[in-house]
Parts: sequence; structure tokens; C-alpha cells
Amino acid sequence: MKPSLLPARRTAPTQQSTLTAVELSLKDGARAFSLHAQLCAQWLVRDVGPRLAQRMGPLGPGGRLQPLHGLVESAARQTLTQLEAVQHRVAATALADERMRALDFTLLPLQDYLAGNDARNPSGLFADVFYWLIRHALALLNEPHGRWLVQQRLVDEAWWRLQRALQAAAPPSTAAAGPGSGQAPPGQPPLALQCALLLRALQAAQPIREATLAPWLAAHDAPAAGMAQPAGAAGSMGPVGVGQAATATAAGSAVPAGAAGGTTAAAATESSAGSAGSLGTALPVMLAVVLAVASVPLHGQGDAAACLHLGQTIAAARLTAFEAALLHPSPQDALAAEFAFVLRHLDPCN
Amino acid sequence: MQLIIDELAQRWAREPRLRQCIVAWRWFAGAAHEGLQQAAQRLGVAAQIDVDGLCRAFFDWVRLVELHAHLEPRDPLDFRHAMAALLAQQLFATQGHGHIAGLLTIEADAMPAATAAAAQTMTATVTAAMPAATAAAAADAPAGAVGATSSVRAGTLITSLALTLLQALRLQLGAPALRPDPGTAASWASYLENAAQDPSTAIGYLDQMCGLEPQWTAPAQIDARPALQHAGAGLRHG
Repeated sequence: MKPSLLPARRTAPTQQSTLTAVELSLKDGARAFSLHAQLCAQWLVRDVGPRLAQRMGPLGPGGRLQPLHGLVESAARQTLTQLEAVQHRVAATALADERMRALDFTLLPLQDYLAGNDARNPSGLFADVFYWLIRHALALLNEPHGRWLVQQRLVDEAWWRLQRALQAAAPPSTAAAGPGSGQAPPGQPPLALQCALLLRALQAAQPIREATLAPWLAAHDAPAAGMAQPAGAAGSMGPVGVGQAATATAAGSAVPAGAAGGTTAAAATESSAGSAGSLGTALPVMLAVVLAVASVPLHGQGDAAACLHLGQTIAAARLTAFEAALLHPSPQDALAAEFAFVLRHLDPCN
Repeated sequence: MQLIIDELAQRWAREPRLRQCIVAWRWFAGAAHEGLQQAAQRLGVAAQIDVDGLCRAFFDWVRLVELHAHLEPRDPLDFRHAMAALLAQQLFATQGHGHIAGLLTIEADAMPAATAAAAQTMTATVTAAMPAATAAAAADAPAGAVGATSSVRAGTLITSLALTLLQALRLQLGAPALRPDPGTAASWASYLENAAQDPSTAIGYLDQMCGLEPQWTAPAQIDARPALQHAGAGLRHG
């Protein structure tokens, strides 16, 4: 038998390690606690404080309880300010992610995030960068602070989903990508297909949650159905994206009949109330993030803020087309075609 | 009326890969921004460009250009005219004709003080050269017709951008410089009004301005353009 000319495919573990999952869950938990504490303090100041004051009796210049009301309000506001300051200091020092937090970093080409070059924590770079990109994309969409919670463990999980999908979708023939389909190193699917798979992996992992939703309602706290499936199985990415785009409306909406296509477990878990509530926001955000990273040249770097703005602009302009692609009978191919179209009309050098 | 911004057209024409650049968002976004702003300055107005709207129009236009790209070898020059006309169509479609502008928001009084004085002189020149109906609509519209005036101005800016890009594409092909004729006051006013309501008519009007035979029945049907059809027939018989 002749030796293959194609580079040997890297055999990556197919599942997020328990250690990473626990570590990221703790991080997510701390972030959620901090956010909820902040929301709680805001609620106390803006809602409970005034109501209490209302019940306490007449206020105004002649009111006897005015000094007390002032005291309560000032204490509450001080607590809130201190809480926010402490949270900011802790985040800035303990998490050492100031530059990510300020969107002041450079993006690498998509392949660098998918490569998993750090043997000890192959998904670490991806999980860090994409977590922050999603947070900033939410902010760019003018989503009110505190409404959404991004879970880094689920961003990390998306990387593992994507690895399985990439392994399944990289037949040798795709190495010779046509013009405009995006360049990719030999043996890897074209960039457009990688983007399509990444978008679907992020959609399936659903890292964006309603912040006000109780954690136990979140579907992904149960073992993700897709994780248990063999690599490359049709349902490993799940057709969730199709249902998501189509039913991004009311909380609790079910995945449409037929869309589940044999991945009942995945569909059932991922159509929970918590997930559906975030879907309308999720697609433009994920799309902006994927386009931002895809816009970085293959052998270059990109300013994260500029790339994200570009991604957000194109995501807004092409959202309808991407939604239509998700509803296509073959969403992966339709998405890849749409990504290829956008990418070949991004830079004059393409 | 000087619809083409000559300096820009000549600069763009020097871009060696203009045909490829023009269908690339990163190049087009900068060029369109510059073209629209310069056209607005000439009119003595301030224009705010909605980047999302511009991006939507760009990708819709590029989709159409790709769809008809197989016709380009038949007659590259006429294909470039079609490209510019399709761009005008998409920009008009994005702009819309309702109260909410999708692409350009025109603020006549929002110019910085420094440029206002310079613009005033330029406005006098441009308005004097404008067809009477446009000038009247732009300058003397009653208070209730502010939306209509904005629409007229936005239409003028869109036309200016499309023609300037076309000029650059022509110059790069070695074709003679274009001197578009906006026609009579009535035809100019009719063009802007029709294009705002049915953007595909912009294609026919632009062809007419450039001295080409317009295809009024189905202006957006690029393969039915007379020049491309003749060239196609020539190729078949040749």
C-alpha cells in the first residue's frame, strides 16, 4: 500500500476533560454569582428602596422620615458602588484578562483557534477568546448589561463539538478548495465550511443564557446529548440550529417537528425554556463572532475590535440569508455557501 | 450638473485591480463613504451614512453581479455600465422612500460651521447647474416637504456615487471619459421620483443618461441589455 500524501490527521480526544469542565464551571459560577449580586443590589436601589420609602410615610421637605430615607438610599447606593468596584478589581487582577475585557487584543486566523496546539488544554485558547468575543458582540448589539450570561464552559464545549464535526467533514477532496471558498491548510476543510461548522457548534452549545433564569432550568447542566454520540454522527452537531433560527421567538417554543431528525434527546434538551429565550439574540451574536475571526487573513493578525465591528456589520446585513441557509434541507452546505460568498467579497486580495 | 466626481474617478481608476476591489466590501465601504461624502459636500449638505444599510446594499448588489458575471466577456464595457446601474438600483432600494431612510440621512443644517461657508459657494454653483425641478425641490421646498427634499438629495448622492464608480471602471478599461446628461428638468425629477418608488427604473435612466439604449420593459434583466445581446449574437454567429 502506497503511503498517503496527505498529512496524517491529528487524533484529538473527542470530549472536554472533566478537569476543564469543572474549572470552567467554577469560573462561570463565580461570574454568575457576581452578576446576580450586582443585579440584586441594583434591584434593591432602584426598586425596593423607593417602595420602602413610599411605605414609610410622607417625605418631602416637611416629612419626618426624610433623613432616614436618605440614609437608607445612600447606604444602598454605596453598597452597589463598592460591589461594582470590588467586582471590577477582582476581575481585573485575579482573572488577568484586562485586555480581553477591553477588547484590546489581536485575533489570530481561525485555524489557530481550532488547532488545539496546547496539549494540556487544547480548547483553552478558543474558550478564552470566543468567550470574550461573544460578550463584546452582545455589548455591540446594545443588549442591556446583565440580561445575558455567557458560559465559558459551553464555549469550550463548542470547540469539542467542532473537532468532531471537522474530523467528519474533512474528506481529502476538500483540500483543493476552489477560489472564494476560503483558503485552508491542506487536509482541512475550506474556511467557509469551517465557519459553517463553527457556527453550528456554537449554536448547539448555546453558551448565551438569560441571566435571570435559574441555573437548574438550563438544559446543558444535564449531560449534553451530542457529546455522547460518536464522532461524525449526523446528529452530533444536531439540527438545533435549524430550529433555533426558525423559532427564535417565544420562550419555551419547541423545535419544529421534523427538524429533530433522530436527535430527539438533543432537541429535547436544547429546546428548553432557557435556551429558546436567548435564540433571537444568539444567531446575530454567533454570526458576528464567526465572521470576525474568519475575516482575519490566513497568515496575519487582526485587531479584535475592528474585526468584531466588521463581523457585526456583515451579520446584520446578511442575517436573513444566513437564517434561510439554516432552514435549508442541507443547512451545513447552505451555510458554507453563504460564508464562501461573504468571504470572497471581503478583501480585494481574495 | 456635475454628477461625476472626477478626482475620485481618476484616483480609483489608477487602482490596478479595480474590478476586483469594487466587489470587495473592505474597499467598497471606504470608497462609497468617500464618494457619498464628497457628493454631499458639493450639494452643501451633511449626509449620515448607515453602514449596515450600505453593507446590505453592497452584498445584495454583489450577489446580482455574480449572478450575471458570465455575461461579462461578451462586452466588458457594457457589463460595467450594468454593474453601476445595478448598484444604483440596490442603493435606491435600501434608501427606500418612506420616512425612515435606510441608507442616507440628509441634514442640510447640520454642517460644521467651517465647511458651511465653503459649501455655500459650492451650492450656488451646483444648484445653478441643476435641472430646475431638482433645484427647486432641494432649495425651495415647503416645510411639509422636508422628507421629499431629503429623498431628492439622497437620490442625487446615490446617482453621483454610481456614476463616479462607472467613470473609474471605464477609464481603467481605456474607454473615453463619460459626460452623463441628466436631461431636462422634468426627466431628472421623474428619474428621482421613479427610482425612489421602483429602484429598477434607475437602471434605464442611468443608461439613458450615459447615451445607451435603455431597456424599459425589464431594466433589471441584464442579459436582455441590447449591447450584451448583440455581443452574444455576434459570438454565436462568429
